[in-house]
Amino acid sequence: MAPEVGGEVAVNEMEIRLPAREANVGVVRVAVAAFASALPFTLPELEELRVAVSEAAGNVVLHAYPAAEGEMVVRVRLRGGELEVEVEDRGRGIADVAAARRPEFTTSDDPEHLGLGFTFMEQFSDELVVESAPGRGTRIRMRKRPHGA
Amino acid sequence: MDANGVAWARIPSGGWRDRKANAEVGVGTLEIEREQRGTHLIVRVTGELDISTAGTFRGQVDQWLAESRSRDLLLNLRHMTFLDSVGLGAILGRLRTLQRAGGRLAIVEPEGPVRAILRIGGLDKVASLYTSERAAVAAWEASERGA
Repeated sequence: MAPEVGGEVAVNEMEIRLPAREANVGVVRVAVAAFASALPFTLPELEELRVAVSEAAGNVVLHAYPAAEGEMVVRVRLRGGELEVEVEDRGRGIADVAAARRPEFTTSDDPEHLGLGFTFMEQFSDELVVESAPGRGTRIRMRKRPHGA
Repeated sequence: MDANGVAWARIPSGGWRDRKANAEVGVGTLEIEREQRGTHLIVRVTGELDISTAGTFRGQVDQWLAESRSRDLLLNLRHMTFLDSVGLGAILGRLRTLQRAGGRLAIVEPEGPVRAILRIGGLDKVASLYTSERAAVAAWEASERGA
């Protein structure tokens, strides 16, 4: 039973700080999915969440720190029957967020980079907010609610 | 065992099979296995195809394709447990490589929620999807007979 404060179920929160490395993307998605399982998400919804979180963390690894290794911070909150996930870096930022959110947009010259990261984040969450400033970093916030039966 | 430290096993179909397990490929979540069955190259993927494993997948499959007599690849994703946009890009990249060489890609679909990710990513629009290796090979053989 979750602790109650003033008649409402208290917020449950978690913060993870990790070096922005490929191997840590899997760590983040496993941790967030385990945290999220306190809500009645269906297995397909949890899979969507795993993909959305992987895309956000993967973007940090791929794009945020081109010169040296940096840190990614992942905050997860469970509140009011929904999950909120923030993925933040202090990297180079995104110059044009609107353009970056367009399907198949990519700054990479690797033809196998599809530019579908934001598309998956958008499709697999109920709300996606992207805040970014060049040279200062990026914060992605996603909300997801259980919709399954 | 060959020069790369890979153990080879003969299989009853007259082809051969080998496997790159976790320790060999340097990651903890992906295992890929190949089987050469006649002129067909089959690659089976178990585990997670994501940002940390896509590079290994890409390099290994390209090497196996280069060594194979087949221009066609059957990619069995039945036991793939995770796919993100980087993994999807690696699969589509192999499709382009095959198409440039006049080859074909057939995919055995994963089970469960990962199947939906694959379809949302549009793989069903550019590659032939099957529910089993047998169905994929039968489709190839039928097209070869009709050619």
